[in-house]
Amino acid sequence: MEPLSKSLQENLDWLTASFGNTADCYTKKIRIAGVECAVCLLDGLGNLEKTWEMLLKRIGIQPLLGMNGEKLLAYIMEKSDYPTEKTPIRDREDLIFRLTAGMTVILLEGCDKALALGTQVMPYRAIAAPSTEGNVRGSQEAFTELLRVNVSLIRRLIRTTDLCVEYAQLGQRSRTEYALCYNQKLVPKALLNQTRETLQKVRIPFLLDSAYLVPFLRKGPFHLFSGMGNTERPAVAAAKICEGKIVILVNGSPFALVLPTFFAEHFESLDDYSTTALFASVIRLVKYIAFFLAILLPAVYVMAVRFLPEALPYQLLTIIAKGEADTPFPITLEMLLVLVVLEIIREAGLRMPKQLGHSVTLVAAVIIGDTAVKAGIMSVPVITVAAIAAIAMYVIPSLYEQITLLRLGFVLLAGYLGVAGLAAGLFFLAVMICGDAQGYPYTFPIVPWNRSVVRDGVLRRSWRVLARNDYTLGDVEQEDTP
Amino acid sequence: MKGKNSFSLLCLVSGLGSLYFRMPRQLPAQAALLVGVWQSILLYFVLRLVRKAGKDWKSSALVRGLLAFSFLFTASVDLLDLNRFYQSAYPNQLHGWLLGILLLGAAGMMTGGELRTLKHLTRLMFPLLGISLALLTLSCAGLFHTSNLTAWEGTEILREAFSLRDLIPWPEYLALALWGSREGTAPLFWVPAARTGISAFILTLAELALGDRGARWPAHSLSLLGQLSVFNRLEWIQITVWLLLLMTRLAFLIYLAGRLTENFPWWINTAAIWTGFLCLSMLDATRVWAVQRAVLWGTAGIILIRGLCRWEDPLKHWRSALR
Repeated sequence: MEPLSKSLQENLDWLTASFGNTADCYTKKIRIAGVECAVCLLDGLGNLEKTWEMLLKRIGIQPLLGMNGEKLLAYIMEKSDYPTEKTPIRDREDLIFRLTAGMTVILLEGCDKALALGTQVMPYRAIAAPSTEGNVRGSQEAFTELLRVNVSLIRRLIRTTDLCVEYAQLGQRSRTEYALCYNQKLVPKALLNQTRETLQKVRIPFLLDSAYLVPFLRKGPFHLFSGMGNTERPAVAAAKICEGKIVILVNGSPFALVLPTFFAEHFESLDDYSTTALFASVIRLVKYIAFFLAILLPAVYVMAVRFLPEALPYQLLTIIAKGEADTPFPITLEMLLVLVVLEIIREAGLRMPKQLGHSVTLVAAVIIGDTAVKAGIMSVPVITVAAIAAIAMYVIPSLYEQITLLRLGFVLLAGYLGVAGLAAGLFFLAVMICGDAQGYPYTFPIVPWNRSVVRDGVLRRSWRVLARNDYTLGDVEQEDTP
Repeated sequence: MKGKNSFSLLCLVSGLGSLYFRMPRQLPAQAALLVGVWQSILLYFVLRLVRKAGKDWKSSALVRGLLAFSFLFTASVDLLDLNRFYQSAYPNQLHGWLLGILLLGAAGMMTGGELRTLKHLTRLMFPLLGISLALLTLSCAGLFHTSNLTAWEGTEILREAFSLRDLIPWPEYLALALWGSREGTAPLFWVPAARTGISAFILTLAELALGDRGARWPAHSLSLLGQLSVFNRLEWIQITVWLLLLMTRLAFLIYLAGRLTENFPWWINTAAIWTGFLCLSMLDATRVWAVQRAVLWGTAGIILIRGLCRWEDPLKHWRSALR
C-alpha cells in the first residue's frame, strides 16, 4: 500500500492523475486556520453543500501560533465538531476507498494523513415488496441496492450482539463492497474461515451481483445444484443467520446469497411458518410432486407413447393417437419444440418492455395455443402436458434453471432411449442432488435421514415443537470419508 | 454416520442391485423364502471374513490385480444379465451395446466425482425401493388370491433350491473384508436379510396374483399385473428403480476397481467393463455364471491361502448378545 505524501500538491497531482478527467471528482484548495488544505469528494456520492456549510464556519478562524498540518488534523479529530471518521486516511488505497464510499476527504499540507468526513448522500431505490418471492403473510420488505441499507434491514431484525458483519471489497476494476453477515455464536467456525479465505482469493474483474460469487464458493466438479440459495427478503436472510448460516450481501445487488442451502429448503417459504403446520406440510408435499411433475411428466409421456403404448389406458391412447395422426413431427421432436417455444415465450415476457406484454400474451395464446393445433403442427395432448409441466415449474421458482435443463434432457433421453434412458436420467438427477453444500450433505435432512424431516424438512411441526428443539447448522454433521 | 457404516451400506445396495435381474428360478414363494434363509446363513458366514492384522495386502500385485479383475468381471456379468432381461422385456427398444454405454456412462460419471455422492445416493435408493415396492403391491392388490399360493413339493425342487450354485462371494464383500474393519458393520447383517426379503416378497406377490401361471422371470410376471387407473402396466417403474440400483452397483464396482488401479482413470475401467460385456454376450448365460463363480471363488481362495483374510468366529456376535 502506497502511503500519502506530506506534500499537498503531490497528493492532489496523484489524485488527478488517478481519476483522469472525470467530471464528478471535485477538488478545491482552501485554507483552514492558516494551513493549506484541499477538499476532495465525488459529486453525487458526497454532499457538496453540507461539506461547504461545515467548512465555511472554520475557514474564517485566525491562524494559530505554530499550527501545521499534523496539529490541525489532531485538532479537528479530537476537539472539533466535524463528523470525522474514527481513523485518518494513511494510504492512497484507503483514500480512494473513502472517496468512493461518498466521504469528503481533506488533504493537509505537511501531513501524510488525511481527514475523512461522513457526508455521504446516496440516492437509492425505496424499500419495496419483493419481486421474485411472493408471500401472503409476514414481512413485505425486500432488499434494495445499497449495501448499508441492506445490512441495516437485517440488523433491525436481529437486535443482539451476536450478529456480526464483515465488510470487504472485490473486483479489480469495480472494487465492489460486500458484507459477510453471520451469527458469531452459531456459525460453524470452519465454514466461516473457509468462506472468508475463498472470498479473499477471488479474482474477478467486476462484481455486480452476489451470484457472481457462486462458482468460486462451489468447489469440485460440475454440479447442477450449487448448494447455495438466494433471497431478496431481509426476513429470510435473518432467519438463515439465526440458523447459523452465512449471508453474503453485495453492494448494488438486492439479492443476498445464503450458504449453505439444502435441497429441501427450495420447497420452503416464509408463508409456511405463518400457516398451520398441517397445511404447510401438505403444501410442501405438493411442491415436491410439482417438482417431479415439472421434470418428468413430458418425458414419461413421450416414453409411454413411443415405447409403451400398451401401458396407457385405451381411451387415453385413442385420444393421443388421434392427435398424433394429424401432426407431422415425431412425438419426441414435437414435445421438444413445444418446450422450447414455451421457454421463448417466457424469455420474451421477461425481457421485453412492459408495454408490449399484452402482445406477447396474445401471440402466445392465439397463435401457438390455438392456430398451431388447428393447423395440425402440434397436438393438443402434447401442449397440455407441456403446459402442466410449465405451471408445475413455477411452484419452485428457485429451481427454475435446473428444472428447465433437466426437463429437456429427460425428454431427449426417454424419447430416444426408452425406459433405460429415463433411468439414466434419474440416476444423473440423483447424483446431482446427492452433492454437497459447503461440506454439508445437500440432501439433508432427507439423506442422511434426520428427524428434522418431519420436524421442519419435508413436513413441518407446529411452532410449539419447533421452539422446543431449536435447529442450527451446527446440528448437521459434516461429511466423512470411508 | 461413520465411514465404515457407509461402506457397508454401499455393499448392501450393491448386493441388491443385481438381485432383480438374477431371479430366474420358478420356485413357489415358500421355497424361495426357504432358499433365501439358507443362502442368508451361508452369506452371513462369507461376511465374517476379516483382514488379518499386520498383513499388507495392497503390496501384493497378484491380489490387487485379481480383485480388480473380479470387480470388472462382475460388473460385465451384471450388465449382461440386465441386457438379457431388458431385451426380453422390451424387444427392439435399445441395442445392447448402447444400453451398456448409457448405463456405464452414467455410473462412470459418478466415480469421476466424489465418494460422498455415492454414499448419499446409496441412502437415497432405500426410500426409492420402498416406494416402488409399495406401488407394485398397490397396483396388483386387487388380483391377490391366497388360493393361488402353491405348496412346494418333491425333492427335485429342494435339491435345486439348496444347491450352492447361487452362493457367490461377491467381490465387494471381499473388499470390505480387506479394507474395512469390523467396527460399524452392523448394516452388513441386513445384506442377506434384505436380499431374501425382497426376493421372497416379489415372488409371493406374483404368485398371489398369478399362481402357477406366472412367467419364468418375476419381472415378466409383474408386467402382467397392474390395476391402477392411469397406467395398465407399472412394471416400468419397478424396472427403472432396479436400473438405478444396478447403476449404483456399477458405480461402486468402478470406484473400487479405480482404487486398486490408481494409474488408470475411471473411463478405462468403464471401457473394460463394456468390452467384457460385449465379449460375454456371445456366450451362453449359464456358462458365463459358471465362469463368474469360478473367478470369484478363485479370488477368495487365493486371498485366504495367502493368509490375508481369516474367518472371524461367526457365532461370536450371538454369543456375546446372549451373555
